[in-house]
Amino acid sequence: MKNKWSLFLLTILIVLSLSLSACAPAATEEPAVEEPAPAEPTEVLPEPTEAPPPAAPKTATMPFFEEPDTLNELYSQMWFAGLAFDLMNLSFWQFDDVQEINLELAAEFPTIENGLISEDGLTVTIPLREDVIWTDGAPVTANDYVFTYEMFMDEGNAVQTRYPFDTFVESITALDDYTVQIVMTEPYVGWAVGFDVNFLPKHILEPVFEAEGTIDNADWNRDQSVTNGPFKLKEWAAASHLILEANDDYWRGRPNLDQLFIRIVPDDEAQMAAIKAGDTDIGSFLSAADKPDIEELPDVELIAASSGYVESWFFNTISAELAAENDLQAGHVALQDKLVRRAIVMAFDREELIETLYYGLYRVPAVFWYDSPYEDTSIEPWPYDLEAAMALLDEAGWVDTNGDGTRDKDGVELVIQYSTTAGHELRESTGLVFQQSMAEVGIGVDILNYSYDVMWNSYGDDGPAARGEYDIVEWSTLPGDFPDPNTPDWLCEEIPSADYPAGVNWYGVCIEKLDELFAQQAVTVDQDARIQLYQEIERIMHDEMFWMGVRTDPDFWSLNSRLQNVKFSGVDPLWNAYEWDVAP
Amino acid sequence: MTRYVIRRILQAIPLLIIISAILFLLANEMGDPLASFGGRRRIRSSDRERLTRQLGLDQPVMVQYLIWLVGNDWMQIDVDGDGTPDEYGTRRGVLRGDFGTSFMEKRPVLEIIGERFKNTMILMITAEIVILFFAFWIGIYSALRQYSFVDNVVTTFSFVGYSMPVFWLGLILMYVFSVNFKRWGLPYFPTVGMYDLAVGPTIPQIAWHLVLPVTTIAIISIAGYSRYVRSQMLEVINQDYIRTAHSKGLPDRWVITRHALKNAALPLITIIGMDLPLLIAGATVTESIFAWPGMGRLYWDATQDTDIPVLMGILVIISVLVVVFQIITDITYTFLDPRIRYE
Repeated sequence: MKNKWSLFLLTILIVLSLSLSACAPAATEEPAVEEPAPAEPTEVLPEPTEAPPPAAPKTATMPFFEEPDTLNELYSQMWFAGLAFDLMNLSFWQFDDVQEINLELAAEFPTIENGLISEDGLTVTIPLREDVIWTDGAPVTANDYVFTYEMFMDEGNAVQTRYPFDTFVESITALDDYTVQIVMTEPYVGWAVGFDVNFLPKHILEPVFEAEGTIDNADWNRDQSVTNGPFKLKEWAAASHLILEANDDYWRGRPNLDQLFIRIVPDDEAQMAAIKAGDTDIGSFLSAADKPDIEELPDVELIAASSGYVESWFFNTISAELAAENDLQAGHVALQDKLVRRAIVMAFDREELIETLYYGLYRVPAVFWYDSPYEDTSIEPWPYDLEAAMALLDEAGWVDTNGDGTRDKDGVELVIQYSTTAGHELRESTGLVFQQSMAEVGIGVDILNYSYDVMWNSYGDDGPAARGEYDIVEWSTLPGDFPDPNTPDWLCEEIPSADYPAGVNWYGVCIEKLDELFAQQAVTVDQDARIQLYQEIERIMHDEMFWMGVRTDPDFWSLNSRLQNVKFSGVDPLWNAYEWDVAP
Repeated sequence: MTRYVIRRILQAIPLLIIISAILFLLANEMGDPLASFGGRRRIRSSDRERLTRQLGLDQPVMVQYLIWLVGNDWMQIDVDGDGTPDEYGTRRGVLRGDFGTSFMEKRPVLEIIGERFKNTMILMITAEIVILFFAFWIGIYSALRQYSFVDNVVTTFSFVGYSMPVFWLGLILMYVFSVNFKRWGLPYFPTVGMYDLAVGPTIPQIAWHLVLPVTTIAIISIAGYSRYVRSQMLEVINQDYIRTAHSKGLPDRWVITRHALKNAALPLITIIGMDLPLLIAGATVTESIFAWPGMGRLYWDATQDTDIPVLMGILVIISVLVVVFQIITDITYTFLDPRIRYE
């Protein structure tokens, strides 16, 4: 009987092996290239020669951690959806790997010097290229942009955000087929970013809008057979993949790649396995923890692209008076004193944190606008110095009078609440390190983390951050109009209240001089003058220390050496996909 | 029997409505559907307010449930947010076959589910066949040779298999048979996906890509199922009628398949009947690891995004199938055991 069982198992194994072998896809062979036979001189017409076998299509593969929910920019702010939009659709321009303007549909970038921005900064005129066509042959015109604006603003469309159109635009008109004019209600320095949206094909979507009163459910949103970018959609299998193919009519000429395979791989470990197996040329959304794995691969490199994001600490400087007035929760009274805030920063070793938790891949940013023209490189981060930190706390009057190990003043113990997004392991670890660090200088830390869908709820929805229910809160952020530096986060008028629940200054920061400088930069078109203003802002922020940069937060990509000419941008990551090529 | 089936179906209708109401309430408590709308940025309050109205989330939960169930084409809704109802809605409700539109994808829920359904069926039916085949063989063999060396080995491996986390097993298989086999120059399996995009969805391609995910699901499920089969068979083969069958001189194979297995199968049918609807739900973890575009991933994504229409669509379909398969299971009993009568 035992022999029979062994035989049975053996048979099963053989059958399975044979079946799997049969199922294995046939190995693809490189098409053989034959030497052309030398032509023999003859007086008769030559025999028709056989066409050479077609070359294998040049293909690159990249994974997306999330599947785009749509291919219409109106309906998604998902990062991966943005990558897909930009591969297939054009806007006025893109920002390259050094954050310089790379013109696409615009023929010229507006400036005051070339007369395309009015002296008062309220009118911007954008001339368009006249040689760009949709893949169905229709020209891309200013009317497409005006239609796009109208779709953003129409009540029938459940677009994700209308910003900045609803805030700054008085009118957008087509002066002629190839000239867009934007008139603003007030100067908006972030216009080059905010108004730079992908054009919608009016001739495709307008009939849908007229019939249904909305383009929410338009086929084009997922089936973009008509595009104007370097690639067009060939196939989208839900949750599986997107296949893009080169657009022969792209205005720069056909891209080097014939196809781009985008696989939806929702598991980061699986993505790493695919990178290791060489199943993908690009890896996206990688983290510092992936560094050791990537370093083991001879053909793959890890690339950081500055994204403008900075992992930040925000100090709650909401005073008791402001809290009572605006129905907010005041921060710990000690945090009203900038000496205490600075002491906390100096008692926390960010360099060590980056080395131990983040494989040394990041650096400590001294200013909010790091790696940008607005960065004042003379400013150094406050150093890690326990002695100096304790001296600052003493100077501020916070000493341990009752011998319980925690500093106090006027009967108030110096115990602060640190909060971040629950479930983010590295941030939670940062909280624990912070707790230990503060114990060394006599500051107690309570940790209270919130899930991400609760943390960022608005003032009206009792969001803990918006309501000031923290003393120090951590997340990664970037200037609102990145790569433009403009941000409303620290304006007095942006402190939320029942009358203004949309306020974004959740930190209670209100410094008159800072307000003046932000107001001034908002109407300063001259770049050098604006840089000077930002550097002054940075010096105030460095001195007041209501914001602290924990670490830079670039996007990490892996790139297989098979794929060439790839330059990742932190703003428009795949901006030069038209130049990508595979190694010969 | 017909009256019994009709009665069960009629009883199921209020049951399903109650289940759907509970599920709807729970789904609404899962989180904020607009939380992920801002992408990497925070969503503005004014956009949040507008979207809340446009998606119908400004209504009380019970009104939202009512609209989900019976639609809103019979009532006027406020389209422009001025507080005054402007026009009739367009939703027909689940009872009229309209499962709504995904918050994230802005597409009909049934269309989204339909796309994933066939992929899940390919994966799960293959897995179920492999599971049942091996579980019955291993279970029966172990029962017939109780406490033998092979039985002890099988028992050990069953417990090991049963206790392995599915994500760990999937990744181990991927690293061994995809990454390392390729590195060692051996024939290797693909890491992710349903087929090689350069080749297309051919049967050999899909079969080849099925191997690792099916193996992952099967190893864990075979371990559990084979223990059920073994224990049921052990219970039956010691019964008097089995001894009688043997003493009548019937061949072993006949006794095992016709007498023992048929009777042992009754409780197993219950387990399988309960498991089959869950096949439709897919294998969330396995599908995520191997990037298999099935229902499990859809469910996971909808949960992450609090995409309530999609979530409700999946849950209601599974609830209906559970009820349907319970009725089918009850009917199957009558074929396996003539003593059972429902009239």
